[in-house]
Amino acid sequence: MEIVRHDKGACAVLYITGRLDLAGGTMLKEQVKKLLASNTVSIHLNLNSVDFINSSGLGALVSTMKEIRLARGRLTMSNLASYVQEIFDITQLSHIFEIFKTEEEALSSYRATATV
Amino acid sequence: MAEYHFKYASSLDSEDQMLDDLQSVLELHEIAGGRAWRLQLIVSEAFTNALLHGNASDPKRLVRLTVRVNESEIIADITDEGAGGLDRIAHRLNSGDPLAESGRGINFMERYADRVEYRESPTGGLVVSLAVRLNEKTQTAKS
Repeated sequence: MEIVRHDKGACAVLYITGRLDLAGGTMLKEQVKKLLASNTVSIHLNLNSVDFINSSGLGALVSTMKEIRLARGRLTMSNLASYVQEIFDITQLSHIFEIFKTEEEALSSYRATATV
Repeated sequence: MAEYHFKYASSLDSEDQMLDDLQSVLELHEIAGGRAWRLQLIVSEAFTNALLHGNASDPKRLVRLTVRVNESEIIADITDEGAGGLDRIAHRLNSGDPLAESGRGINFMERYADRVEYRESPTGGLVVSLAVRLNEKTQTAKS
């Protein structure tokens, strides 16, 4: 798995490519810890290029979300493939995570929140 | 029937190697789409359980994968070198809490496999046998 970071405004966008499994989930958790340590607490995950996710990857996402919320931050996701969306749906995680169809929609929501 | 055997150290990066090997078998037998995705998911769940729980992440212990393909189904056996695996399965906790960070793997196996069997290997490890039928219209989830 590979993670590429692009900062867009105050939000760090992480582009994840490959398998979000045991090793990938560990990598994601480490990356997010580094971001939180540098006071970046608005984090968006673009999952467009995630071609596999399993329960280890889901567990890493849940853990990541808890860490970000503890830091009073916000985690969003976008561009889920249909089978990834299915996994989120059957585990009820689609009701827990903030999931957007596109990255632009997610980033717009950050801007809207900032102007309220 | 075609049969393939693989073995892996119980280390973090083994799962990627296993998925690459499994993908090669699937491609060889022209198994793709939702059926391939289901198989990769359920095998990865059994593999992770074997690595973390059965073998307690001890790199000296192996996880073995046997894949058998016939005209009607593909069967994957995942075997660890631990002990007490059947008890672990029988007494597993399933909180149903969507915010749990673990505990979904067996649910995925039982949801997406057409058949799941648990048995003990001759040396006491847990064998998880997962079958997916090949003679039905491809779908991503069982109806």
